[in-house]
Amino acid sequence: MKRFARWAVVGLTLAMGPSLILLTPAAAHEKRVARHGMMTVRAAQDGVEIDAMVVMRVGGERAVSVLSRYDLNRDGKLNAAEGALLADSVSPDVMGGLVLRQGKVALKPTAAEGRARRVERDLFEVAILVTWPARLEAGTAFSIRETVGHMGASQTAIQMQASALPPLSLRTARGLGRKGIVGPAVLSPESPAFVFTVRDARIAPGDGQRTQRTGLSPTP
Amino acid sequence: MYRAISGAALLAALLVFTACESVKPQSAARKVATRTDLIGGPSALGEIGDFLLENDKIRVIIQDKGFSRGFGVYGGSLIDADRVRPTRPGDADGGQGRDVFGEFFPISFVEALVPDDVRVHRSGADGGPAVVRVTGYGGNFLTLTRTLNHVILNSHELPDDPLDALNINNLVGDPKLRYQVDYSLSPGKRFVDIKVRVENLSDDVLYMPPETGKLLLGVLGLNANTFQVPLGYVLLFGGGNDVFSPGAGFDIRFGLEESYAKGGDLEFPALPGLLTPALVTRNKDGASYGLFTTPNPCSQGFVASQLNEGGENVYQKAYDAEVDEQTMLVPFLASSFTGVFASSAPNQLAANPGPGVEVNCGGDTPAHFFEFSARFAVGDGDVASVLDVHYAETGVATAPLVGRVLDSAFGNPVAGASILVYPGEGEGKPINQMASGEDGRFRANLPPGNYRARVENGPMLSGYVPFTLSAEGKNLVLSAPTPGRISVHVRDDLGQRLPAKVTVVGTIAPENANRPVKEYLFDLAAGQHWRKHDMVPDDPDDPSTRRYIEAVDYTHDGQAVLTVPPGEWLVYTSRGSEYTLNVAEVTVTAGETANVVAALRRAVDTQGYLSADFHLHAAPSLDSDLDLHDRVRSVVGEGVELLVSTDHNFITDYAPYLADLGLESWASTMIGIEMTTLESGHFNGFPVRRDLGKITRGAFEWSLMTPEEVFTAIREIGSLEPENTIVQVNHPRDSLLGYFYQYDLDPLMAVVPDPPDCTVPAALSNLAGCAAPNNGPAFRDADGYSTFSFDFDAIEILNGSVIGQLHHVRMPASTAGLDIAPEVLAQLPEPGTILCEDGTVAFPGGVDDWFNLLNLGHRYVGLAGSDAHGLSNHTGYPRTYLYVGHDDPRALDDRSVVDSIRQRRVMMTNGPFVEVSVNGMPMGANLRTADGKVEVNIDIQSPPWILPDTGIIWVNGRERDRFPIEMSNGRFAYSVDLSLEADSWLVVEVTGDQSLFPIVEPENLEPMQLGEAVDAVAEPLGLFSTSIDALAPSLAGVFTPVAVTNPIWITVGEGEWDAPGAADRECVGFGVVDHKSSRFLADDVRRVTEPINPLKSSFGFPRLKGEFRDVRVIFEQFGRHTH
Repeated sequence: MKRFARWAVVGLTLAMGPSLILLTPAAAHEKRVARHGMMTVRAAQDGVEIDAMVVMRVGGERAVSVLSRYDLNRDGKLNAAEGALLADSVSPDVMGGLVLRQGKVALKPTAAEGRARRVERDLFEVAILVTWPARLEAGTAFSIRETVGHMGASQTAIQMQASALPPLSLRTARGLGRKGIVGPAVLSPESPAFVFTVRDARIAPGDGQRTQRTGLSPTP
Repeated sequence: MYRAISGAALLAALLVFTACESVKPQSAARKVATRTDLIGGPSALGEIGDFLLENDKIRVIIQDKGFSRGFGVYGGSLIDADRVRPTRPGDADGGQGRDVFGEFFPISFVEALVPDDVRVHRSGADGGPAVVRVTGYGGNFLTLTRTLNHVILNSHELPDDPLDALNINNLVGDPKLRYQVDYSLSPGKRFVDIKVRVENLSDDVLYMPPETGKLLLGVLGLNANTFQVPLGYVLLFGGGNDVFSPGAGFDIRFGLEESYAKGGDLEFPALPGLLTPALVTRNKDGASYGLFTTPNPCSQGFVASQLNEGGENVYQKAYDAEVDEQTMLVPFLASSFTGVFASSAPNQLAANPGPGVEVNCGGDTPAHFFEFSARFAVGDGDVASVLDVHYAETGVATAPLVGRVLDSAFGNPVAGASILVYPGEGEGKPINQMASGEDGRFRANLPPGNYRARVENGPMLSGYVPFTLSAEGKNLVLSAPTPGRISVHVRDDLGQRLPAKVTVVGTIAPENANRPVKEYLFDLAAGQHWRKHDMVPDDPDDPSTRRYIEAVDYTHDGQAVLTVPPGEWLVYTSRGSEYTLNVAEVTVTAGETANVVAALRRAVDTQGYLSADFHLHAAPSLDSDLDLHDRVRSVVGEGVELLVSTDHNFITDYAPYLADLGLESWASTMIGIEMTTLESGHFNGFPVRRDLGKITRGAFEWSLMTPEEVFTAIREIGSLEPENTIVQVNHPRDSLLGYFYQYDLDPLMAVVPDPPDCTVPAALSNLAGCAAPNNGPAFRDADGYSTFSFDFDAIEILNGSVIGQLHHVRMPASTAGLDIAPEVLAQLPEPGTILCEDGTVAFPGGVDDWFNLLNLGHRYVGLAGSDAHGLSNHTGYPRTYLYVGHDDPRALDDRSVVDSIRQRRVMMTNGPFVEVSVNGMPMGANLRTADGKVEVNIDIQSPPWILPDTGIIWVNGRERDRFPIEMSNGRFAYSVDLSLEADSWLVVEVTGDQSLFPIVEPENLEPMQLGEAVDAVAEPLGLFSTSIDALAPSLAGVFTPVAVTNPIWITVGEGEWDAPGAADRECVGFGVVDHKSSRFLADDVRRVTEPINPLKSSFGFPRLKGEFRDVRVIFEQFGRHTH
């Protein structure tokens, strides 16, 4: 499947909400499901790009069933094409109700891609990479949250953390992250959002004006 | 105008002449008053109060009287040496030089000098040589050799009754010999002349050996009439020095073994050994050194003087080699410890004529003294710069050989190549070696003649290039073979860069199957390193049976580049026993780089535990040359999370190196020390303080200390309170280096033996125990009782260097192919029985000692340490897991580690991760059961490349249950209900037969240790021998999985826990007889349980460490190696 087609499928499923491939009643009680996410903020020509990779691990008999379904050539393995199909099919479950906001504005992803890999006979992992473009203004806060309705007992909590590539750096209410990493934060009903602000070394704090470029980001 | 110019020229000439006059070479000797006078360098141990000898070429340090700061025992030794370098002067840390030398001191037979005076004898101010003179009496380098020194060398007053000399405790007479050693440095010379003078102090003629010695030699069946006392030197070259013998090259090890084979029939004192005209070293990071004998009219060459009754030289006959007065004998070389016999003493010394009487030696009339001499040269780092000195001083006509090394692929100059010079014809080994400089150039002086040259460039060795060196010299351009490179990028499944290990494995060609690898895979004589092989019988049709390790390196940032010869390679990427393994096949071409991206996955859930290596060495230890950055990089690359530095008698701190590498989020450090006595054991102490004011950073002098005093001294340098400083007995059964072995701790009862009966005739049947016990009188009190102390905290149960000494050796299931005499074979016990000989356990191991001590109520903690000295020789294997309740190494501190050890929730392993609980209580717990019924739960984890197969439950030292292990998805769980009759302790051991090659490097060769050196002297005397040597545990072999838990103590019924007491058993013949049934009640109920949910903590962020990366990169790697 070509990259565009795959992200289109993922985007569609994101828009539709989670499918039910894994969240059947049996899967709802399947404890061998876990999710985590990582984000990277990078400088782009017109602001920043925020990549999020969300990984879900699925184990147990349900995993055996899913792996069997996508083992199209019956070789007992999960090759790249089979993995991509599997990833596409479960991407709604992986992404859940994650929404990235800049301030109060929900951002729209411009690209998405999925991959899957078999870890053990009854264990696989799916990774979805989603990219959001955003403007960058000094002190802008970004928040990623699991929307209400996707965080009930049927959905596992998700841990998130984020990093930035130079010349950007991140900060949370707790301060600067160690080695430029903020988080991890567990998104739960009590604390559904992970909030961080982006600082650009090219922009003097507070004045919003660009200073001398560092050469690390594309020429405007 | 002309006149003016001429006048100026004359004036300039006069100025130059005057200047030349002012820089006329001089030498100087002085007592070191400030550390700026010291030499410095990786091995430097000189200190204020020592003596400096220097000229315009070299600098050496002679220790002051007292005890040695190095590996030797006594002061007065040459301890630092370097060439003069155009560097900054010394500083408070002790100099900026590149001393890489260990220690040097002369010996007379096996007696060393105990100095009572060290002084500047000649300052050198008069333009002549500067001399430091050391004087004193004889002392025992090893106390077990006291009998040899007193009774054969006749160095001390002997008991009136010769038979009393068979008891080492009776050898307390006053010294009769006085030693004087002059270290002399002349202006402009690159060597120190060493002259040793040994003088008879008594008014009587002194015979060597005396009548008592002849009696003892006669008892041992040796001919006293042919005996001549050998004289020589001990050279502790140090771990970074490759020792070279002209004609044998760098292959001293096998040169020695070959000499043992050829010289097996030599009669004492003509010990077998390597014959050499010189011993020289090379060192890539510092100076090189050489030792030569020099003629002295007061003694004969030892080798040259060994004649048989027919007047033939016994060495010339046995070895078919030319010998002369300068030929030296190297009887042993072990762990950087080299012995050299160079001269032999006369059979008698005249009575001392008193002061002021001039006496010459070497005439027909015996003098009251003898002398022997040597020359210690300092070179630039290669062999040639040392041999140049020798040629110049001995008047050998030479011509200059100069040249350049160019890369064969690109024609670029090659720096750091090794150029080896061979005889022009035949299959000779190297006779000289040079190193190329930054511009690829090299030079040496050689006698004119026909030669061949080879170039070693990294892992590759060129073919032979013949050349003729004329009297005018020769300019030689050599082509160096060009290696390729393998670049490895290591990521985890989240795409993070991982500290890791990369092992490059090659395949032996089918036609070389089962041939000894040193015959074709590498050239030890040329200085190439040993390639470790898998120790699997080679199948020409199965490449997987013919693997060897070509190169190993570690990365701290996920990127490593290894240099290898062109060819096909398997690249193994690993990160210790908690991670999976990545194997890639690559093809490398000359001058090119092959790339590998390796993804590793964390496969073992160790939540709440952190791994520690409590036994690590690096360059501050004499027998290691490993850079401290590399030490830290390697241990962290193996996934160890607490690094405890334990250098020999030196206190090292890894923390600055950990920070420098940016690895603080991956691991923590603790400062420790391995107090290394020569013959009463090795003891780790941690955590300790580092004292920057001392050259050894706080190590203390241990000589003549009892174990109790050593333990107390360790606790006094602790960083916490003395009671919270852990004293650990290391490798307790490692012959001379093992505390339990040296003190004869009873291997069945864990008690210290009574003194042996050394009265005659009992002593005659126990010569080893009476005349040469494992440790001499220094370790017994006035009544002959042992000074063994039980005041330690921990025992090193698993040690990577002596993994074969785990348990007492049991009778194997089969003795097929073993060299055992038929009459002995017929007496051997049933398989599984502990083997005995001479009334005691034949080959004891530390685990059974620990069990015995636990049975007596001791609660020593079992710990594991790799004892790694090199980069990858079992670094991190085995290791200790400590339960600390979290997974963040940054949160560790000294106190929390000590607290954790004291909790005893501690497990030792070189692979499998094992947790055990009894009635839900973990390792280290004390629990009570009313009826003795308990449920034991065992959870075992391992990555796919480690496969344990057998579990054993030990209760009170007896095997209570043995169960097979079948790993499934990296886990295995086992439960059993036991019924205990009495208070008990319980330990679980997990083992496997699967080789851990190549991740844990095998030991292809038995190491040559100090014990071998002693054996080399003692075996010809018949002191040590055994009829079941073939059943002895080997220190060579592959590593296989093993893990041992610490105990859980179970009280049955009311009251306090009662120790079960020593087992009722004894040695009868060749086996242990158990007087109490070892069978337990057969009501144990076993079951294999469902594996625990593997998602408990191995997934997600709890263990996320290190640098967070770009998720696009992470995503690119995700699923690449799916299956």
